[in-house]
Amino acid sequence: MIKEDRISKVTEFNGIEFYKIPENKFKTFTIGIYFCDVLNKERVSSNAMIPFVLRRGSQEYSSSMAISRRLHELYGASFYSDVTKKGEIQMTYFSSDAVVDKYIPESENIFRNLTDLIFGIVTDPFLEDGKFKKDYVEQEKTTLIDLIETQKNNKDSYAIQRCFEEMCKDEPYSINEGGDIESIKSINADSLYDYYRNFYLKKLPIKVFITGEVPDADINYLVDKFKSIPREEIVDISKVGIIKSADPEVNHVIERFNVVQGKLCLGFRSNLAPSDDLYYALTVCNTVFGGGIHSKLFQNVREKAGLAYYASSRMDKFKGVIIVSSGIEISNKDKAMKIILEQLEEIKKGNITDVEFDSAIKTYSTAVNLLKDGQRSIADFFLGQTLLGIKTGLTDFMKNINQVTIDDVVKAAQKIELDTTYFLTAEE
Amino acid sequence: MEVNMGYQIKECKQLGEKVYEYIHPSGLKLIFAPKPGYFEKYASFSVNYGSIDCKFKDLSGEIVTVPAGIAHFLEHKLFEQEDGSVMDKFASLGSNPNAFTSFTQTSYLFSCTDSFDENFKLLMNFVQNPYLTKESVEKEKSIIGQEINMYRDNPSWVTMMNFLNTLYFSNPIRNDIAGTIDSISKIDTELLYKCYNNYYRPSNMVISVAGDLDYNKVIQLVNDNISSKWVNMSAGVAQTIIDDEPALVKEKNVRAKMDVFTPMFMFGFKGDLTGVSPIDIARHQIAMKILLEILFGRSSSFYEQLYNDGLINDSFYCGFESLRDFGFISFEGESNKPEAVVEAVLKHVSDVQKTGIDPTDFNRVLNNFRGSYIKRYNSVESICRQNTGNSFAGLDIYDYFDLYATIKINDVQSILEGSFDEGKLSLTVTEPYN
Repeated sequence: MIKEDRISKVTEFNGIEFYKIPENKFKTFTIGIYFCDVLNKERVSSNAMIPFVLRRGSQEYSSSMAISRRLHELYGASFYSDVTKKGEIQMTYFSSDAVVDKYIPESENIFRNLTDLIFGIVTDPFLEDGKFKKDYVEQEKTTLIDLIETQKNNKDSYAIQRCFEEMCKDEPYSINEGGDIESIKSINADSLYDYYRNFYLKKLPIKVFITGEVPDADINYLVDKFKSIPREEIVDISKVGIIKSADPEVNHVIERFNVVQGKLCLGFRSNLAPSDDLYYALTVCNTVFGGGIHSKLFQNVREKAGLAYYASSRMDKFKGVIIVSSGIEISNKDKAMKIILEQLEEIKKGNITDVEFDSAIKTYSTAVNLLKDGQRSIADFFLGQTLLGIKTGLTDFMKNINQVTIDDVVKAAQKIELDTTYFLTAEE
Repeated sequence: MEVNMGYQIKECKQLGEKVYEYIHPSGLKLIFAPKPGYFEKYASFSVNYGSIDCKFKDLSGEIVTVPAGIAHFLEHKLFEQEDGSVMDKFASLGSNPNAFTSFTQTSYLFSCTDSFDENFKLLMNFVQNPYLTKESVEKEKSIIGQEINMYRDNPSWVTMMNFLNTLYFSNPIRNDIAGTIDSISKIDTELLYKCYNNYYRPSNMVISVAGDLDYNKVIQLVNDNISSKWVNMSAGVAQTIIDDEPALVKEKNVRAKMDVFTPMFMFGFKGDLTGVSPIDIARHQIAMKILLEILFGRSSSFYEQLYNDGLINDSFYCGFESLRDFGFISFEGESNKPEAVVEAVLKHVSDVQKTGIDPTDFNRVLNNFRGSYIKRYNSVESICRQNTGNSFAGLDIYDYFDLYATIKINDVQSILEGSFDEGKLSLTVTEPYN
C-alpha cells in the first residue's frame, strides 16, 4: 500500500484495484478506469480500438448523441476515452468528471447516475447481431488511422516520436500506442468483439481511481458493480520497461518534410530506473539540464545564443530515456547540437552553479505541490507508482528530492549516454 | 487586525466562492479570490491592450500606427531588466512565470507554492519598469522570428489566420499576434516605449490573485509596490481606433496547401456588437453558446448525421468568439468535402428556423453549461483569467453565474434569425499537396 494520507486503496479483487483520493476543495469528483496491457504488436491495435468503439454507444444509450445528451442532463458531466502508454505499458482508459451535488440544489446523486452511465459504456456496449455495430467499428478504424496520420501534423511532437521510434526500434517502446495502420485495417466487428469479450474484459488488469468529495456508500456502489465482470487469468504487467544502455555508436537520423523550421531531437539513455538509489538525483539532473527557465539548455541555446524559441529536455521515468528537443533554423543544426552536448558535459564535470541547482530543486518541489491541486494529476501520479510497484507517496517523493546533492547529480549525469539524434528538416 | 482599506467583498454563496475587490489610489484594480486548501497561488498583472490595438489616438491627441506584433514584442521585452532577466529571478524563487498576448490583452503571471510575497513583488515591479535597449531589441527579433516560424508550420494556426483574413478587410485581428518577420523588423525602442506609455496605465490594468492567502496581506503588498509615479499618473488611456469594417466578408473561399493528411477547414459568419452594453454582450455570448450546442454540438442530430456520413470527425468544433465589440461564429475541423459541410450547416439552420428551438433541448443544454461553468472554479488560473477578462469587459465578478440562472429560451430563439447570413459567410481550406 502506498504510504500517503492522500490516497487509500479501497479494495482489490479479480485483478481489479480500486483507489480513492478524497479531497473536498474541488467542485468536482472524477472517475478514472484504466485497462493495462504490455505493449505488444499482436494486441496493440485491438486494444487501441476498444475505447473508440465503446464510446459510440451502450445498450442503454445507443449513440454518441444519446451519451452526450445524458452527460448534459448530469449537469455538464464529461466523459472521454482514449489510449496512451506509460513506458512499455499500453493503457486504454475511460475518464469522467462531474460537479459535486451540493453545488446544484436540484440535482439527484450525480455520482451514482454517472457510474451507471460509465459502467454501461465500458461493459455493456451497443450490439448489432450479437457483436459490435459494424458501422461503429468501421468509422472508428478511420478515426484511429487518422489520429496516427495526424501525429505528423505537429512537427515538434512528431520529431520526438520519430526519435524514440528510431532509438528503440527493437524494443516495445517504439510501438505506437495507437497501433499500426495495417493491423487496424484488418480488424472487423466480429474479431474485435470476440477480443473484447474474451480477452480485454476478462484478462487485462484494471485500475480504478475515484477522487473528490464522494461518500463511501457511493464508492461502494461503484465497486460492487465491477463484481459482475467475469474474469480469468490476469495478464502480468509487472516485468516491463527493461532499462537499456546505448549502443557504442550514436545513430544519426535525418528526415525531410515541407517545413520552415528544423526540429532537432537528441535521445539519451539514463541507465537508471525509478527503483535505483540515484533516481532522484537523475530527476534533479534532468531539471538542471533542460527542465525550465533556469536550465542549461534554456539559458544557453535560447537566451545566450538566440538559436531557439524552445529547447528543453524531458525524462520518461518508465523507460530510462531522456529526450532533448529544440526548434531551430535549419542552418544552425550543428551549432545547436554542439551547445546541447556541451551542457551535458558541463554537468558531468560538476560545473553546476548553486543557482542552477537550487532553482532546479525549487522548481521540482513547486511542480509536486501543484500536482496536489489537480484531481487527475494526483490520480495519474499514483497510477504511475502502482504500475512501477513503488510505494512512495508525494510527501516522501519530495523528501527524497530535497536530500539530493550536487555530487549526486554529477554521479547520475555520468550514467547518461547519447543514443540517437534525429533531425526533421526541409526538403532539399 | 482588519484595516479598513476600502475593499469590497463580493460573494456567490451557491458556489461557495467570493472575492475581495480593491481599487488602488492609482486606479489600478485588484481582485483577490481566496481558495482555502489549495497549494497553488496564482497572480496575474494584465493590461487591456493586445494585438488589435495597433492604431490609436495617443494621449496628446495624435493618431499613431505601429507595426503588427508590437504588443507581443513588448511582452517579451518586459522580462529583461537592467540587472538581468526577470525569468531567472522567478526561477530562483521556484515559481513558474509566464506571459501571453492575445488579440485584446497582455498578461504577466506566475504560479507558485511558496514565497508568494517575493514573487508578487517581483511581478508588480518588473511590469511597472520597462527597460529597453537597442541591442536587446535586435536580439529579440531573432527569438521571436523562430516563434513566428514555429507557428507557420502549424496547420491549425495557419488555417485560422487565413480564415480571419477572408472574414475581415482591415480589422487588425487579421494580423498574426506575433506579427511577421518584416513587421517586427520595423520595431525599435521608441515605438515600444510609446505603446507602453500610452496603454500600460493603472486605470487600464488589473491584478488578479487566487490562492490560500490572507486578503489583508495581498492588499498591503499592492499598496507597498505600486509606485507613486503611477499614483500621480493621469487617468487617460490611448484610444484604440479600428477602421470601419464592411458588414460583408472580404473573400468567400480561400485555399492553401500544407503538409496535412486530411484537409482542414474553418468557416464562419461575421457579426457586429457595436453599441451593445457589456451585460447584453455577455447574455448574447451565452445565448450563442446554447444555440450553437443545440444546433451543431456533439449532442445534436446534425453532428451525428455528418459524423456517420464521414463528412466530419472528432476535430469538428463550432464556437462564438467575441472581442470587445465585434464577433464571429466559426466552424473548424477536418473534412474531404468542406463545401458539403457548409451546405449542411446552412440547410440545418434553415430547418431549425422553421421549427424553432425545442424547450427540452434548451433546458438540457443550459444545465450542461451551468455545470461546466461551476467546474471552472476548480482552478486558480481559471478564476484569475475570468476575473481579469470580465473586468476588462465591464462586467461584475458573478455576472455570468447570474446570467446562467436567468437566461430564457427567448434569448436563444431571438438570435436564430440574423446570425447566419450567407453574405457574411466565408470559408478557408488548408489541403495536402497532392
